[in-house]
Amino acid sequence: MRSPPNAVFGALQAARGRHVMVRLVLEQQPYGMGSYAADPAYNFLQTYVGQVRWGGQLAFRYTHASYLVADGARTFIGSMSWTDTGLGANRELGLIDTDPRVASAGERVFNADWNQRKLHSAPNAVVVSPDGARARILKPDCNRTQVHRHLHRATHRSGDNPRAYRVARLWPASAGGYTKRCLAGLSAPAPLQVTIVRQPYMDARA
Amino acid sequence: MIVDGKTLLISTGDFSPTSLDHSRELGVIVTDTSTLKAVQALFSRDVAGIPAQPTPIPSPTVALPTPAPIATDTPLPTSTPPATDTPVAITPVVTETPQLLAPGPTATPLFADVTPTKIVLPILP
Repeated sequence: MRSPPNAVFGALQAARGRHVMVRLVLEQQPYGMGSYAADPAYNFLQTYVGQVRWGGQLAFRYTHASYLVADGARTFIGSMSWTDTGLGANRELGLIDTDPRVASAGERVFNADWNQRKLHSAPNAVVVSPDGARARILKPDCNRTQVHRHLHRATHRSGDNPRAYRVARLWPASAGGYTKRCLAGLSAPAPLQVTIVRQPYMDARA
Repeated sequence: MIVDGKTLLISTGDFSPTSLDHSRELGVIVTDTSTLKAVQALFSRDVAGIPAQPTPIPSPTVALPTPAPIATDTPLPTSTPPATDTPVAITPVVTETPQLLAPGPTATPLFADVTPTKIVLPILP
């Protein structure tokens, strides 16, 4: 039985066998790793699966978007990496969207990255980082260091509002210092519910 | 992230400055009721610590028919230029028969010829 990533890449390989054009964009310098980790993946995918290019380092720092647009009609967007853990062990969440506007937007983002060009404007059908995602997700008064303060204030507001906010956040038990600081800042107000889940590993940002 | 039970964000990005400001991430905002209910139920089970089977989440829109596979002896269709900011360079599709998925008992397993280097993409801080 194939592992989940083998099944994914096998399906892409089979698609190439049907003369489907398969293109992939990878991160050359994954966070915390060097090219020694990415090069074998690049070589494998280039040899067996499809055309491969490194992500656009002129437009942004990391290629972290794991999504797929098929036939210009269906789009898969998910929190998971295409690894054994991401596809087979963690709690992850993804969506297959059949809205053609989402597919078109995904293709536009992909083509910009494929050609190492900046997006001049982010398509509205999707939320794109670093091109406008902050403005789509957060209120304008949230700067880079205020992401979590915004959530903190939201939980405080529930004290005098009958429609209580219920903010629940799930962090992996193995969270490092960064996450622990966020957790400390967010866990003060009463309406906030924080649950630490050890199994499965929580990686779903949804 | 589910907001007020009415809006769902599914994204590749972490809720971190790195993801928001420095990484290519893609997300979609969903308001479809059935999808929201399914994700909310999954989230509630996770909060309660109840093991959950994978939940099929309905598509927010009507599924399109799957295109029929292109026969190997059929000329490739001309690609329609996508709506992009820049022209897209289309490299001809490789047409050789994939070796690793060749049918039959002698098929070589995928990854068989690849150095077993485990690639695990990190979760950004």
